[in-house]
Amino acid sequence: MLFTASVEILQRPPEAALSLNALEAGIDRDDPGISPTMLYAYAALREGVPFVNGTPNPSVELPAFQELARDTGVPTYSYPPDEAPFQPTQELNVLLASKSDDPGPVRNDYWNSVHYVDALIGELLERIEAEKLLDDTIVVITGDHGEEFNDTNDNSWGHTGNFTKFQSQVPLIVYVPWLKPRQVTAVTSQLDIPPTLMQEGLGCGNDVSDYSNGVNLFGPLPDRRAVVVSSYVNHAFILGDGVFVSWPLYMQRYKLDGSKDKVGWPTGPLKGMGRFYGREERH
Amino acid sequence: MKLAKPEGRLAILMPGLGAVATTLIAGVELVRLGRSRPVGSLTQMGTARIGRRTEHQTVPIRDLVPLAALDQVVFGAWDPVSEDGEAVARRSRVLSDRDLAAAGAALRAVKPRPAVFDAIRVPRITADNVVKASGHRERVEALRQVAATSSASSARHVR
Repeated sequence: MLFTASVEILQRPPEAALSLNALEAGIDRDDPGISPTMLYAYAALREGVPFVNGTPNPSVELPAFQELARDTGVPTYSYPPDEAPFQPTQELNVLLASKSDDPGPVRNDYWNSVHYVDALIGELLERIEAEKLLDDTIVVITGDHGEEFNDTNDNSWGHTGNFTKFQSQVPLIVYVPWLKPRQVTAVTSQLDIPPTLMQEGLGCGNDVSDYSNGVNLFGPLPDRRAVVVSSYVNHAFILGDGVFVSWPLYMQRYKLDGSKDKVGWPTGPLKGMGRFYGREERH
Repeated sequence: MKLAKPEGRLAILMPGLGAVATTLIAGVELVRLGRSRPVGSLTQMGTARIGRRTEHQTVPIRDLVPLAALDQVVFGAWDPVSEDGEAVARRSRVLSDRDLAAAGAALRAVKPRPAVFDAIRVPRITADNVVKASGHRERVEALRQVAATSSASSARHVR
């Protein structure tokens, strides 16, 4: 079943969606909190038919539906309940979260996901090793965003809310079998992955600046650099502990740790950006 | 999990026969007719490398994984508005006249079943095709009936 209907108005998840028993009872007593999308999802999952979101609706993410899917053997996109060491958990609903919410349960939910993904990556690596391919395979593990649980105390949850370290810093592990491992503390960017692969994996001898703004992660790293980050709506650069957000008409400044102190304007990157605006400098 | 070659039909049941659903139905039909290519479809046009890079073996994903072919796909829908797929597609004005003409028969064939609908949650639709039921349990039974019938006559290849 592929859901392609109009999006329903937003509602808090009803009590009836919190467990399968509650859902069955809610359907029997005609609970007004149960929406049509939930009835479609229930009907599909009860028949062992996968339910796919083509237009957004939160029904299948709710606990009762995850439980039903597991019961009837329909694939779910959550971690298995018996591999969830962090308890109690609660699914994050960014639109309904408030500043006073306890971040503990939603953080546990996130940690369980990470824990499960770690195990899956382990299985993948073991398979590569068993196939005797690990000696000539480069493995890169990273994420496209961090995840915030109101760490800035600004009612910010999830990602794309700001560019503080809680949302912009991600793990980056690069395994190149023929190179000695090292840990770096310098600021790095995803832009550094292509030059690293080109030079260390593919033997490209060109100067990196011919094709990239990044650097080879196994070479000398710059000790101070601006990195660019972006979301659906805007972009920013991070320099030292400062975040400079570029909106269409103005720039916003805050600290990487989320504190509100404004940081001073850096002259170097602004000078560089001047060419986009047809002026050498713009202060 | 073992994957067997899918046989029979693959039913795609869509709650909501609107612009999104009719564009999907028309797109699949145009590909089946050879009038378009499924650009952007991983299953239809994506490729995967097998073995080492130096072995130069790249195959379409649809040859590597036993997926249902587009010829096996059939569509069904529920909608609170009784128009057929072609009327919806014409009103939605997503498709060109030429594509609409080519996919017209396939779109006309999709006539929406009465939907489970709540005008408070989706306020901008005037419904004329709603399931007659006295409560949630009866509504669910009506939906399950369709899902069960389609599921029984569908290709099932994940065991």
